Amino acid sequence: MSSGAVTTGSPSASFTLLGEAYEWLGQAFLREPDGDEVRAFLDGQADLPDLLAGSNRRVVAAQEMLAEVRRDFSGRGPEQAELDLAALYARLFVGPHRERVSPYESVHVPDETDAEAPDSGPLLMGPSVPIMRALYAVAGVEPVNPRNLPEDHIGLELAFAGWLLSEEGRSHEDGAELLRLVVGDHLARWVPSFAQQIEEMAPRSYYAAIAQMALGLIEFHAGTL
Amino acid sequence: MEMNRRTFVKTAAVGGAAATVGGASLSSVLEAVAAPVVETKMSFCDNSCGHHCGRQVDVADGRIVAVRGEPLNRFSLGKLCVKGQTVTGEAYSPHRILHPLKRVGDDWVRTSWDDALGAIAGELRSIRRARRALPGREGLTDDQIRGQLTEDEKLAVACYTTPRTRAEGNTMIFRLRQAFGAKPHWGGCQTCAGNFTRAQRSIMGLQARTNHDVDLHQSKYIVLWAGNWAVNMPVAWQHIQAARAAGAKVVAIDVRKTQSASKADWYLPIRPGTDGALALGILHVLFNYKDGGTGPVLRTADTDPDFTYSRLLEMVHPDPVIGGLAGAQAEVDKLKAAAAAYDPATVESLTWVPAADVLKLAYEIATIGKRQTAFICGSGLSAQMNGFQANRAIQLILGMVGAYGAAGGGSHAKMGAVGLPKLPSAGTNGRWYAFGGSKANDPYGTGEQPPEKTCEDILEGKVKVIFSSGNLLSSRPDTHAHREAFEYMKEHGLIVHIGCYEDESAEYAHWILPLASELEEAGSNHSTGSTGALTWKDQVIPATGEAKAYWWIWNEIGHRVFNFNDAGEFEQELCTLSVKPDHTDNPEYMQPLWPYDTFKNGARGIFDYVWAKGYAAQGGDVPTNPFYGFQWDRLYSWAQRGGVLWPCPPSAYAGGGSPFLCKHPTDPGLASFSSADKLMWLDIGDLWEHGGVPHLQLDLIERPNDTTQAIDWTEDWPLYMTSNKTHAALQQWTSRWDGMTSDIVETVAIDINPATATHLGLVDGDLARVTSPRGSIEMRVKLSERVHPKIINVPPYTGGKSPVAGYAAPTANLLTAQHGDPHTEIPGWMQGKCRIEKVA
Repeated sequence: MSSGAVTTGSPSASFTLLGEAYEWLGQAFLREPDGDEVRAFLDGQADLPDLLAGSNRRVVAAQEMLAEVRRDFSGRGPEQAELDLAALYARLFVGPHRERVSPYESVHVPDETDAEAPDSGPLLMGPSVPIMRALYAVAGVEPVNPRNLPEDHIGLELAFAGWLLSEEGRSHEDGAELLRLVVGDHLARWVPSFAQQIEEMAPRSYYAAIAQMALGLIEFHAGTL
Repeated sequence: MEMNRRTFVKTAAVGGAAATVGGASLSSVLEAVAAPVVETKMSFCDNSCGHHCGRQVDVADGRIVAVRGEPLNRFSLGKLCVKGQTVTGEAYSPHRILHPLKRVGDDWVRTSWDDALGAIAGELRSIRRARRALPGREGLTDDQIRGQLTEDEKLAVACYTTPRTRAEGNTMIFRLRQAFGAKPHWGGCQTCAGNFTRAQRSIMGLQARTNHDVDLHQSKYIVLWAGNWAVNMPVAWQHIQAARAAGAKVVAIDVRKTQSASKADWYLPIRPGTDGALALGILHVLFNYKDGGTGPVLRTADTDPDFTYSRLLEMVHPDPVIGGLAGAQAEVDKLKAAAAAYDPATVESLTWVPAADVLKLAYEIATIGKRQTAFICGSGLSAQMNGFQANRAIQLILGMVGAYGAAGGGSHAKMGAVGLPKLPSAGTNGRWYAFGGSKANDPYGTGEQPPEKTCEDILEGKVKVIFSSGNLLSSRPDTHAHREAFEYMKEHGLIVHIGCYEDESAEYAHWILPLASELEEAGSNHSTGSTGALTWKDQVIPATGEAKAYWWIWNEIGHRVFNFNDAGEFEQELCTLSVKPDHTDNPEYMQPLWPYDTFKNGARGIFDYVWAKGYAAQGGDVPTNPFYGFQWDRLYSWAQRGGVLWPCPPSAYAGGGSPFLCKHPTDPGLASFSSADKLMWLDIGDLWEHGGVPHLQLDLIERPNDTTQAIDWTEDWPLYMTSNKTHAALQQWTSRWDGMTSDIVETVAIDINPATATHLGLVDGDLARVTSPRGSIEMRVKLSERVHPKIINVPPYTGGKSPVAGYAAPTANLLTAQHGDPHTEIPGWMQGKCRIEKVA
């Protein structure tokens, strides 16, 4: 458990922890874990704080899955584990394999803006991109995005939800509505598909576990909005 | 659970759609997103066929929201085929590779551009160092060493590319190749049109078609020979339809009754690989028959100036090498002698085209078409064992009837370009530099090495680094050879894959560099397309992810190989261009030394330099708005000095995104016949040994005496296999896989005649196994009267690891010939022999 773990069950503290979890999960999907993060994972420091760990059955199961993955990795050593996770990240989200899971919302949510248009199949840069750009802009933030990812990347959406749950985000005039939009209208709509595809492609893997964890938290959170 | 970075930072700026309603409520911002400000950007299609149809792209907030044809484009007339329309699916495909990757064991990991480029350049630097360290090369400059490179050393670096990149990217590739003495490799055009272009160069010096497709409106007789424009190039097809509506007769000659053939006035089925024999049969008739087959059709110039023997003499007359008119006469006599053996009855036995139809075809060309006869030479003519000679014979028919240099006449082909080396765009494109052929009896090539030949070099350990683009493994005619070669390179060399999408070739690579898609890259087209112009195209949308333009990638590699901080070294290696000293067609902009800043300033820097130099070389001023379309006076001035036959802008044309009224610089216009100093000359005797005899070569199709149309089921290979092009093939070929196109238009199936199917117990939709001497594939069959009972048609290029379900594995590329045309080495992938059986 991290140093940020709390000992109180106040709603404010819960929001803070949930926000930190979103931010952590967001970063986990945005980039491969570095050496320190891999060591933290292997040392059991990547677990959710207790207050969130029992949010719902999916989160509990995800925690168990992550522990299982950690046990599998125990004999590899940090450097090999770092390489293996980087390779899994590429295989799932970057390429060059034909079978992979798109980390972008618009690939999972069909474009319904033009009912007359022929079904073009899932595409990058769909309508969710300008919407997310607008939500970021309304919040007065911009993503740190050195790899120029489309703005509906799972990592950016999760981290944005995390920012909205931070003290700064909660004080924003439209913070609550922005949170309802990003979690309820976006993440809750497509992360189920995203998580399921990862489970199918890389069952009971590191990314399957954190995808289930993200989904569990989103489901839990969406129920409170 | 600890975060060590921040993903979001506060910003004062409000961008995108929110900016349009700055300070407004959340709901109004979302409304603005739903109704964005749309900007229409002018563009042109750069997909596959090279016609460069005019295209408008609506962009909102940096995203494509609509694509349509440019109505003012005089070629495309507002039309776009499915390839052009689905550019959105290409740019935003979920199968894009958006980040550099490096191989680690059997896996890949994401890496940075710096890491990738540094490692790749390091490999090239080590090759360079090793060359410089060899005894006898101490103290020599790179340029001097280049002159000493052995043939094996020149093979160390192999660069495959696709011709659909911007000209500026090609410039960099070309120069980097030059720096390593590397041979240029074929782009896709060579595989589908290489024999056509060589044949044309051998006859008249032009590398591509002589008349623009809009000129078809003026044709009286159009022969669509082994091409299927109605499907593959429907935008160009509209001009055939227009000509037909205006009274032109359209004849289709093809092994398969294609969709185009079904729309023709007359369809002539032909035995695979025998088009050259039919062409010589037509020449035979033109030389020896007259109306009704009772006497000579051809007369002398004294009796019929529009349709004369002397017209052919005119073509060869300017050549001093063969002795002026006397020499020309001798060459024409050789042609007549070559055609002598191809009387209609012989042609019927060889080609399955009835003798009466041979006579009728020749007669109609001579009497209906005359100078307004246009031949559309499809890929099926070029990608065959007899491609070179068949195309030569076919084009000589046009020479016989005076259709070159005439409005409504001439030859048309796949390429949208006209190969005029004087166009400034040529200055950016290495393909125009004279190299000589890749082998002694291929003097009309441009020195490009067939990829299949490189596969052999690879297996001999001569190749150290491959730069690959496009999905070579499933798109090249010989998939087997490429798989074997790439497997070898994976273990013993270095493969750098530059592409947009995941594909089978990428899976062998050590480094994968994400390439910007068509609309994400600024630059000019390397050849002139539908506009007949050097055309600059702005970047329409920002690049997705970390994808980069071709030009950027090669520039960065070049900088790292030749000392990033030393402009002098970089300049010497990449700004210096070795050209043949006798290449007299080099205006100033093609001269060896380009200023360093030309490259440093990016694609636009190259374009501006070439354009400015091009104008200066022509004695004119740089126009203020030079980026769309040549002006009438410029084109006319060139016409005066050699002639071009090309529609050009009207004098009042002020530039802009749309081209021009169709007009010819001279009336009727003369094509430019190049002089003999570039080895581009009609030399009928030396290269005519096969004379269009169906030279059905080697193990795959050797059955020259098997002229019967009956099937001998006791044979190992009782059937002919042909192949064709598909949209998916075209897309995949160019490093741009577009699953959307395939979903819309493609149905992959073997065409088989119902009679043959019945004999084999096959019904529509059955799974069948096709086996050739090279391998087997399984694919569904489609019963069709479009093919002769002795022929099946198997689609190509749809295999490999394309990301579309149903497109895995089966492909004609696994069945087709190892061997190519004996003169050019271009694989004859559109023909072979095979058997087929039902899969239980």
